[in-house]
Amino acid sequence: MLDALKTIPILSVITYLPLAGALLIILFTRKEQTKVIKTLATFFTGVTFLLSLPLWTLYDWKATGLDIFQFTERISWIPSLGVDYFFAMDGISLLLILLTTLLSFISVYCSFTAITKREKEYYAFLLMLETGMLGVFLSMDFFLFYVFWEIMLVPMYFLIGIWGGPRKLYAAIKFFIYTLLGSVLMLLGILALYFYNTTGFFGIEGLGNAPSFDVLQFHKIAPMIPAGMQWWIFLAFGIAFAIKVPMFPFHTWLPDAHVEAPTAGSVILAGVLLKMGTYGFVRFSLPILPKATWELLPVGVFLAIVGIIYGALVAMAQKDMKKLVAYSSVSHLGFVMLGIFALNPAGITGGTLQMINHGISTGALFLLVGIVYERRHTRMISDYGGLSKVMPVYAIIFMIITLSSIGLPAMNGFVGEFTILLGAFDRSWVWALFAATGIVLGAAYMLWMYQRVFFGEVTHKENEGLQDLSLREKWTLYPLIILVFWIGLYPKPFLERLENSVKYIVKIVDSGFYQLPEHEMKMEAPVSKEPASEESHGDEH
Amino acid sequence: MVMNTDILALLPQLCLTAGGLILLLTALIRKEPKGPGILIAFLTLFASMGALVMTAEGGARTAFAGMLTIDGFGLFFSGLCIAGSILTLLLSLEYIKEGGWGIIEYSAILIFATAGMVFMVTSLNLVSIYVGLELMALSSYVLASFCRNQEKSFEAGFKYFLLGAFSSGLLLYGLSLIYGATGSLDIAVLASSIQRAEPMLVAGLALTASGLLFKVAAVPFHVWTPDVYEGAPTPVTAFFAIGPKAAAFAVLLRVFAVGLGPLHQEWSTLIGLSAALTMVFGNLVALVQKNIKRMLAYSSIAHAGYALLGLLAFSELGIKAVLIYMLAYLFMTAGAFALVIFLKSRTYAGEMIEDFRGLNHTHPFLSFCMLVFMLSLAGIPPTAGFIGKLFLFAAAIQAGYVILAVLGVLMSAVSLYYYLGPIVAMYQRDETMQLPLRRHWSLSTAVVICLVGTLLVGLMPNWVIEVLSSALLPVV
Amino acid sequence: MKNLIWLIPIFPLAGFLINGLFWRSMSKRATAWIGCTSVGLSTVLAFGAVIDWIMSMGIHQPFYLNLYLWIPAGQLHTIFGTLVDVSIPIGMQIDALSALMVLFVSFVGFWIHIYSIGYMHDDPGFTRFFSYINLFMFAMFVLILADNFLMMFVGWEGVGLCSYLLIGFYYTQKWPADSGKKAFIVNRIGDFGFLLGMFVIFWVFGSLSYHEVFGQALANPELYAPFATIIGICLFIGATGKSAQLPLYVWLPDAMAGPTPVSALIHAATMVTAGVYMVTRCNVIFRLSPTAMAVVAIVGGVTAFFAATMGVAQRDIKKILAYSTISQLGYMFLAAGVGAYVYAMFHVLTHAFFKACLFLGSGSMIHACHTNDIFEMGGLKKSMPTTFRTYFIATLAISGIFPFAGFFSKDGILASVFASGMGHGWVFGLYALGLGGAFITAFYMFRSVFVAFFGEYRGSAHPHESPRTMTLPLIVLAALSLVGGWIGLGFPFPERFNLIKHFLNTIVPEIHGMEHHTAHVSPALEWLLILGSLAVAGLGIFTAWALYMKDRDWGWVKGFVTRHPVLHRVVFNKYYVDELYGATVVAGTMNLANGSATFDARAIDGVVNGTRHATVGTSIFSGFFDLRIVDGLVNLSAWLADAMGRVFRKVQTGVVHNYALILGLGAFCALAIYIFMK
Repeated sequence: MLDALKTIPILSVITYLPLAGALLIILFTRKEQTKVIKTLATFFTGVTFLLSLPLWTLYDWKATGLDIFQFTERISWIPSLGVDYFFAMDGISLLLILLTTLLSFISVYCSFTAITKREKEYYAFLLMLETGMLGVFLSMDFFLFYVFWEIMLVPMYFLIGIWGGPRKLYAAIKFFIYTLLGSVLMLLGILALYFYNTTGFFGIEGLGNAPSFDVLQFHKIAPMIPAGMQWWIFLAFGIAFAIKVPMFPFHTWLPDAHVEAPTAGSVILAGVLLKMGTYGFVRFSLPILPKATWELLPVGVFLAIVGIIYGALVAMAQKDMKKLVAYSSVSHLGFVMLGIFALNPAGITGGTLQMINHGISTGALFLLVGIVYERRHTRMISDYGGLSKVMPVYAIIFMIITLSSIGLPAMNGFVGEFTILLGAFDRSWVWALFAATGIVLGAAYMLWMYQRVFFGEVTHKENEGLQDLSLREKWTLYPLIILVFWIGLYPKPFLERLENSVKYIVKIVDSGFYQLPEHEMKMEAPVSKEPASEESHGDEH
Repeated sequence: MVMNTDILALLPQLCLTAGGLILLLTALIRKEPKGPGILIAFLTLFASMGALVMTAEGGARTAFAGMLTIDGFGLFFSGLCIAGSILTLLLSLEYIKEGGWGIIEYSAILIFATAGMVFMVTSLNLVSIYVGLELMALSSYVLASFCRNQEKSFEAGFKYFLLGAFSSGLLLYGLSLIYGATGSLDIAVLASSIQRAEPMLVAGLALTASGLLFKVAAVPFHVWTPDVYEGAPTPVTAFFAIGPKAAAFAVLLRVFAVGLGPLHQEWSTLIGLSAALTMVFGNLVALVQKNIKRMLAYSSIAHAGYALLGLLAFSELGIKAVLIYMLAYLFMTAGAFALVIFLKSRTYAGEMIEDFRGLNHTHPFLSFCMLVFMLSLAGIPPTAGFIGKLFLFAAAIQAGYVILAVLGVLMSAVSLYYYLGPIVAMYQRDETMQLPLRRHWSLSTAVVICLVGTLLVGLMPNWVIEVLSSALLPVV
Repeated sequence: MKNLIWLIPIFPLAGFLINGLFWRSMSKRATAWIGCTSVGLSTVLAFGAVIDWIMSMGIHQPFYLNLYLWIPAGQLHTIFGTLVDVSIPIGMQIDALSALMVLFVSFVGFWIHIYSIGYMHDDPGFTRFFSYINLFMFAMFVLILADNFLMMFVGWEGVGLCSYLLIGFYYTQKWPADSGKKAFIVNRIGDFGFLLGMFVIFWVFGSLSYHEVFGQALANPELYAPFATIIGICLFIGATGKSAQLPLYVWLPDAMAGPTPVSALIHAATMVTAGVYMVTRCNVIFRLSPTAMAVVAIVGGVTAFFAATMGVAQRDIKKILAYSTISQLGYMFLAAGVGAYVYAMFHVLTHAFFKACLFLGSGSMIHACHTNDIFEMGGLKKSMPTTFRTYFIATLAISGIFPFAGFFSKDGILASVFASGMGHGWVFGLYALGLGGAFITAFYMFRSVFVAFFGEYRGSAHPHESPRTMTLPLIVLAALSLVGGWIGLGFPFPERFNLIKHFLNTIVPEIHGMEHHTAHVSPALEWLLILGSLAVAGLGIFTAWALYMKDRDWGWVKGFVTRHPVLHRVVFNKYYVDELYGATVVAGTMNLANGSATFDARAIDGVVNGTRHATVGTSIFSGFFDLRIVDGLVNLSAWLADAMGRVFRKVQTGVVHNYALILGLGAFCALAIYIFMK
């Protein structure tokens, strides 16, 4: 029965189903029919999730080489530019897709009581957002990727800007423009690649291939791109992705966006949007620009490590729960980036797994914060205290998620962090040394927050009457908790789905990795200097 | 001697002129024949569109001893200009009715302007270009000051007139210098007759550039734009933003890319400088505008800056880019102005960005359209604006103007900030719409056309590009 | 039966899940049953499995049970450039070491569960408590039975978590909550070392499984010796955290905030000895590096002594026991440091018996007197005879009096320290510390006995003997504290009586090319050592008797305190180490945190908003230029025009002039460009 899915363009179906739902809601429902709207939204995200599940089993993770990209859908879109509508999925995308569909479903499900105004638009935007995100993770055509990458900004902008907190305008516009600033530069980078692959530009001799934005094609030509040019393009991509991740020092849009965004917004933002940045590095920067990657490695790693420690420190000083979690994201994504920049299978695998873990743990944390916010309309840690007494179940679940986010063994966070650090250590023990301090700090600030919120006597009158979790709220969290332990105890299924996809990337970035036995060979980058002519004479006469 | 094939080549222009005259006659026959007048106006425009197609049938050729050319490039721009006028007329009807102005003279003048533009974009001869340009310009002056009873409008018209005259002077002087230097007025011949950049020629080039940059409103020749845009009746503003600009760009491309191609090194500095200034200045000043017409005026300046990159690139891709951009720009700008007109604005209320607040609550569809137009102007996919910018920047990069391209993309990111203004007002305010809206089929049609156009070019740019590629062959 | 060892941790886990998930509907009775049976089953299974293993495979050959592949994460290069798969299994192993550990942990754990039924009976958190300690048993079993470092780390962190939860069991009060957090974070600092150690191990050996790592190390010691030091020290940092050694011992005294059974189980008998277990487990690596050994020995010796001195001045009985625990752990590390792993583990065993007994006894006293302060007890000998007898036996054991359990292990340790001292002179210093520690231990332990059990009752409550569920475990453990040591009869008994030695020697394999610097000790010297330590202990007891028994109102002590207030305060406040850390590490971190937060808000975000403002500013300026300057000229020329006359005023708004001016200038520039270019 499942194989039937292979015959239909399953990826597109999954991607556009939410959009269809959004249109349905916009066109055929009235503002007042909130029940219908909610049902529709739940239904569509739910179906999308269910449809994406079979991919888990249908994806053949034993495939190697280019075969790791499966369920390929390819139609020429703009032939004159060589732009294709090109969807394909490898192990990395697979995990991110499942994460996205799950979190989207949850974030719809968790908004029923939180959102009380303009539901129609709200759910429509949420659904559009899902389409955008899925498109980003599935596009193997760089142009298509860029289109989804930017489209997705718009609904997110509205989610923050309409249903957000008091400073929503500031936060939303900051988010939109900051991200856009990065991505327009990426666009130039893409164009440069495009021309290098075809006619050449800027006085640089092109490869004369057929015009194409095919990412796999770019992977193929990666070794030929002159180092100097790679350097600039990497910069263009790097800024775009680094802002999205966000890496220190491009992270300041994140706390604002998180604090102002509605719960579902934060969940999606932390759970999926940030992963687009790290995904971008894995999918584009590394395998397309190996030389530049090696050259700029120190910078990237430095920023990653600073992010880990700095994020943790700043988190420690926060008085607002959401801000704290936001900064913890900065720290965790620092880990992800460190793993990716380890440029060895263990590191990249760990980094990718950690993307998922962070999506689960931090997503859950935002859900939890949202739950009490809904009851008390404050996120200040000092307004709580002694909640374990009044909301025991809530306290237990919060504890589990806290532990998972501080990387307690047998929970998801640990597997990721350990693998990342193992990989990083293999590249340079100094990195691991500094990064590992993040683990200690992580425990410190999370447990401190937990203690201030849950332990002690109930200090505020208002908190005495707080309701414990409702059934719906529990069910928004159960799936995540299950995943926490599944990945913690038996991550094999996830890791083995990543193995060959990661191998594919490593083979491009560090061609020597699987051959050269010499330890030294892989310590310094395999850079061959081709001078890129810098003077600008463009005309073809 | 004139052959009927030449007449055929001239058909569109003839249609327009004839139509204009007929309109004037009807005005003599009957007092205020609103209905028929409008009908005739539309008929004329559509007829000329049809004529365009007919002449296209004949394939690329020249007529009137090479004064006039029938090539894809000219045809495309003619089509663009006529389409612009049709949209303008659609936008104008309701407005004029309220203003109680003579629909006849209005549409007649509009049509004459159109004729002028078609002449501009189809002539291969500097003089006939100039004549067409003047025809367009003179009509524009009248249009700008069309609601006489309003001082602002009158003032706008007058400014436009004086400054326009001034710039025409520059242009004419420049052209004559070029003629003096090369001894030829024929663009086709021009290129071949240029050996080296002697001072006289260069001087002419500079002055011609000044004259034309005035028409496309590029810095520092933009100064007239904000006042005129704000002062002129909104539909007329829309017209200025789309028609004359496009025509002027067409001429710019023809004269510089074709006629003065050999002097590319010389003029690239000037154009590049102007492009950079225009992008920066236009976008930055637009940031702080409260009046949406002024904002759109500055944004139109900025867009002229982007478009100049296409000319600068001086490549097939570059010219293609300008064409696509002009098309995209037609739809999104006309759409934006249509929305402005929707807000009742007999007195100059309803032109503040603030006036859009809460539009979404009362008219979700309209505000959605405005959203699309704004995002398109900001260059967010999947809209026409994105495709246009993509091509322009691609051309710039290909030609090695990386710095300018970077400047351009950064500025277009900045521009998002002011394009968000109306969006914020429409969606993110919890108040409901204050102003009454105009309701008229013509307006709605215009908006729908623009919406469809914007999204179509954005989602399936391919067929547009196909059309253009054919349009380009004769040019480069 | 040995194939079922994976069930040993599963039983308590099940208990935890049942109690934890259905905590609302659980009756105390049911909870207690589930809690205790689960551990009971594990105990039975543990004994069965170990016996089965010895019967079927003998003690020399470990038994491995591979459950499943846990983390397969791509490949890595080892330091020698070989490409290895990162594949970490979940597996278990039984050898002499884990067998010993699993036996006494399950056994002691079981009895402490029983005890808890009585002790926690009136506590509202009864179910929560049992679910937590079941979880602890699970984690502890994982730690012990693991067959690779990472899985040990799972247990390692797991027990840390449980201790966090149980220390903070009375979370509504501040002290427990804080202490719990403190314990977790200090342990994390240790784990930081452990982690790094694991990374180095993987980097060097390309694996984390014991048998592979140690196997390779044994195969060619010379190759791996250079890395042994760094690995050993990293791992030992982990051990100092978990086993509360200098400088990371500070959390253990505060851990007494938890319920007493917890202190007995986790903070005396089992968890805190995990560090010793780990060092012993890695003895191959440690022995490759004299430096690492020395570090272990020195830290152990110093801790043994100083922790003891801190115990002297405490009033809180649990704190006294806490410091004695730290000090005893010090002895174990001292032993490990000089290569006497056997005695280290032996002491772990005996210590588990008598220290658990002591803690449970103290618990029963606290239960009766509702206070921790021994000076508010007194005369309990009459009111709680059983508690007294058991406590007294355990005290004799910890003081190392023949023939109690403590004597054999502690004597073994001191003897081997002395022996290795003949190899390296400086080790005699450690021996001296050990001896001194023994004296102080005897002193403060008997101090507590004399003060708490003898004399008149000074408290306000009505002490009475505790219920059966509490006394029974006391008796059992007391009995073991008496006879438990006899499995390790050392000198003068013939070697073959020293069962534990034969048993544990199997995990301390020969390393080729490593000379043993444990010189032979002549019988006479042996006698001397034995008598020496006995004498020291006796002296300690006598001193305690003299100061706290003989003169009823402790006049001398009080006088001493008043005469040397500073000394007393310093010792009482454990040398202000806590305050030191508070002032340096904690405060430093917090300041750094606040600093970075400010920096983030002001500087980094400042830059972002700055650019925004700058842009808008520029735009305002340009707009200003566009309007004001031009309009300024406008007004000026308007005024001029006015002067000229009103005729053309309407026409000559003046604006045009200036606009035209600009146009002209523009055109001029356009020309100029070329004129100057040429």
